[in-house]
Amino acid sequence: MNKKQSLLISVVAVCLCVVPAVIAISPTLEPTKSASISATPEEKGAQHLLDTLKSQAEALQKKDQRAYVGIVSKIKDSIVTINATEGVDEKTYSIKIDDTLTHLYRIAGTKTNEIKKGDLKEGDYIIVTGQMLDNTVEANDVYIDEQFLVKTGRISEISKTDYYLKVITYDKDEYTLDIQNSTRQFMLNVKTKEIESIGFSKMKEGDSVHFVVSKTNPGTSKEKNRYDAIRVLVIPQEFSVQ
Amino acid sequence: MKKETGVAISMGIIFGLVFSFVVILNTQKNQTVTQKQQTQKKVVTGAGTGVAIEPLIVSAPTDGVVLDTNKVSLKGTTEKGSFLVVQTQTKDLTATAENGAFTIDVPLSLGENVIHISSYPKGTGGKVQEKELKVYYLTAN
Repeated sequence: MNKKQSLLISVVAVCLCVVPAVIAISPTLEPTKSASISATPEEKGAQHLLDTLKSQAEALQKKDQRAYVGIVSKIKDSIVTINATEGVDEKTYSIKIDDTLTHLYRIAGTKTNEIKKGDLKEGDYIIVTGQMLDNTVEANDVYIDEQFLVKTGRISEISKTDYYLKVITYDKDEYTLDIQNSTRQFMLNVKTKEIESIGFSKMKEGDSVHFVVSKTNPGTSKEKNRYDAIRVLVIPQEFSVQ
Repeated sequence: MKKETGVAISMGIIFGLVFSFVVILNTQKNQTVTQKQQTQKKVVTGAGTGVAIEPLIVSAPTDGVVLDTNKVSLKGTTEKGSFLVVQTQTKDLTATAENGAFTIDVPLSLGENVIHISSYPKGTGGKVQEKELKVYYLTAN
């Protein structure tokens, strides 16, 4: 038997093992865009493997691009400590700011303004991108941002004289929302399902309310969980019981 | 049979078995994920109705993802006919998930975007399902 025949036998052996496996799982394989109509079962199997590897590589890349977010609690030399809330957990991250490699920005509306390390102060809410090495994030970019709360709850009390709402969220947290002249107020029209601009008098106890507040700028002289509302969207009780 | 023939056949069989093992393992993994999702569907019940309803599942984007585009496609499933309210710090969006699946383009602001999704299923006495994601749109310009 020459080399050519040996090669032919090995190809046949591969096919004998691969073909039954591919046929066995072929009904469960989802068609992919890249698989052509005339692709053989072997090609489909190989393509599926390639797609899986590609998506895993992309997922790993995205994982590396994660953001570390929190409130600055300490600044010492080139290390910034932030306290982060991740779900119900509190975490602390050390962020290393490199004088030449790290870029710092302040987000102002639709623009980012480059700032210096000295502009960073305790209490700032920052977003950091970079690599975690030995429990320290080697920062590529640091952004100072505004922290918002976006919540939904039910109106439990309305003060028509002091213009505030008390809201109990579905997580059982209570918030007091001061309605200011700047607050954008909307309501769902139950019939048309369109969102319409409204006045404070239209809101009533029992309605659902979706609200946005700034945790960074809650307003002046506020107690805990009391904020100036930036925007409220009211879903009338009548809609909920439909 | 010559020695090299035997080696060739053995190598062919080993390679074939390894390839088959990887393909089958991958398929089983996909099936397990699908089964898990189907099991989850029967957990939620409407308030006071005892009627099983589909849970609100958001499949994209991933929570905490960093993006360099100013919009993201929000995809998921919920109870058929549910009314959806998607709220960010800058925008309120509404939609009806007629067949249960939904895809909504959500505009993003620079920095952190809190995307709060509420689903109001029909005939459940106001039982609201909620999900919250944080998406980061970061660019130096």
